[in-house]
Amino acid sequence: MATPGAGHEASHPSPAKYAAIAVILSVITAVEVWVVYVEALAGVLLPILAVLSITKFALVGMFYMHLKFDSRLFSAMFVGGIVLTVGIIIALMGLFQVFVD
Amino acid sequence: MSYAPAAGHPPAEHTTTGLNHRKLLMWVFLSSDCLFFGTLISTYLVYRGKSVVGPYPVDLLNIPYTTVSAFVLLMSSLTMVLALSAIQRGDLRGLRIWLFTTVLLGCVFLGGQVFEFTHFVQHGLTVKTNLFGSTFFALTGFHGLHVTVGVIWLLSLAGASFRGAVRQETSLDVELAGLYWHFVDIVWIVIFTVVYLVEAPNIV
Amino acid sequence: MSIEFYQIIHFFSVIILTALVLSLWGGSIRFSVPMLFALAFLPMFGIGGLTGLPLGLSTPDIYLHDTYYVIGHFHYVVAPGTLFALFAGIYYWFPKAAGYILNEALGKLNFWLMFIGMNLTFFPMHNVGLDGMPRRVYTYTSEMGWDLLNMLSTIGALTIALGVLVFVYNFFYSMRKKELSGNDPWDGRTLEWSISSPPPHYNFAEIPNVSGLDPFWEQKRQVQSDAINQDVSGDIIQEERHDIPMPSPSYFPIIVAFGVGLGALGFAYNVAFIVLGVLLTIIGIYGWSFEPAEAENHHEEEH
Repeated sequence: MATPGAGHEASHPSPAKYAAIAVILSVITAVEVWVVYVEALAGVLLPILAVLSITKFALVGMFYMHLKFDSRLFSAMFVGGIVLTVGIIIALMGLFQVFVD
Repeated sequence: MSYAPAAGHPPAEHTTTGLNHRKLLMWVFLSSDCLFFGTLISTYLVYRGKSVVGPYPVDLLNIPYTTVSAFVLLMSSLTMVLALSAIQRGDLRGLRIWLFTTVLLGCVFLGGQVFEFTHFVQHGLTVKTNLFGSTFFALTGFHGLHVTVGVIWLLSLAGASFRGAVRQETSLDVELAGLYWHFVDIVWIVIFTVVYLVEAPNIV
Repeated sequence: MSIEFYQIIHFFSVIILTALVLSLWGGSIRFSVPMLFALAFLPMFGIGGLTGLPLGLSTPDIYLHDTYYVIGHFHYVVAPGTLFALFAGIYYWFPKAAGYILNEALGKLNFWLMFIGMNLTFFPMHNVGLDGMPRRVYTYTSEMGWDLLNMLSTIGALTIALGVLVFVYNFFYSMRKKELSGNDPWDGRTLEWSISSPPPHYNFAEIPNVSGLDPFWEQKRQVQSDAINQDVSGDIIQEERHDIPMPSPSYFPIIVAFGVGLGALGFAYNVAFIVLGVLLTIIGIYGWSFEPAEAENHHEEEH
């Protein structure tokens, strides 16, 4: 049985690193907003937005919420919930024929 | 929100996973909250474009305005993690500064939401007007409620820090509040994309 | 209750009831009051289940639907069924909770009054129901011929009431008599009988280490056989022991509970209660969140 709190003191990013992540997040947000107004990319808009949003999601989760450095169990729990959520969203959209033209 | 010892760094009571049970509970709760917002997002997406009467999203959504509020919330996540970083180093003053900044940014976000909501209502969109109104206000309303609870939590934490109840040894309390706050920010990232950005090409 | 409900429920209730009856196999049965109630539960629940069969088949159900037969049926399931199980539990665990045993003679009187009363009340309902007496009528003419059977039901109901009064009397009598039960009045099998009656608020000082299905039972028998065989080598390997963290006492949980209850009541009566209830709940939760996660002195060691 491990003592709880072990590994907690392992690595904490420095404030500078946190600030750098914030800059990256802002840049991604700006790119998201810019991409929306580029007509040439209108066809692939949804995949691009998805990738950018997931990246922001992952950055906040891994660094701000410390998942990258914490026990895998936390990540498993959170990712499990997300997988279920996305699955339910897609399933419901399918059920209500959102994908049918 | 406990301010007793046996949190933070020294080993608390024995658990079978070896992990702090309050932290584990917070992650399980966030996982469940994902599903909660999933239902609201599903409902919004299922009824998207199906409103019979206006106003429609293209008439009301303001992308630049919402981008600013999204940015504000994103920065509040930064200040939150800086607050945690401060108390983990034992910097009580830093904790207070960054906590209050986070609260301030959260309130700015909420103020922006209130302004947006009143603007929509003045232009004829209420929760009862059409499908867009119902699903939009349900989704963003519950998110705003989550942010409000977070603001109250952070204010309570800040208040507790003046009573000496927040210390380096009990930094877990701040960490837990931080997890909740980052989650609320993450949900807004999703809402911003799904509700606002996806409609943006239609708004000329 | 739809036809399908009855058809489905029979499958599972037969399995459960069979399992419950078989749980008696191999046991040495003592006819103490809890055992009387538990034994009575089995046939009563069985009768309730069996009388439900015609209700699950559409042909007889056309005739029996909304008659007193239905009432007789489900009361046999719920009243002698679950109530007997409830009273069995009460008589069984009362010594553990209060530290005093309930009087055996009064308990037996309680049981017989309730048993006879239940049967007297609800069995005639099958008959009047088969004869066509509808549900939800408060009166009928004498020409229907239901007078005698309904009177039996009434007498039965009064008998049940008498039985319950005996129970209430038994409760106050036993609490005043204060006949201590000790840890293990029933020579029980499970772990709750290994601690004191009533148990300390933390229940167990340490999380008990068990190896097997009936550790307490085996431990008792081992002590007996050890004493018989003069076995002195009773070394137990000391495994890692862990404290059990206990929360500190607080008023907020009851405030939250009260608030939730009041709010729920408001849905039936007045919106003001809902508002007040929700307010109390929120205040209670907020105040509760400031309570420390563990009591200051959670190191409860009995050794």
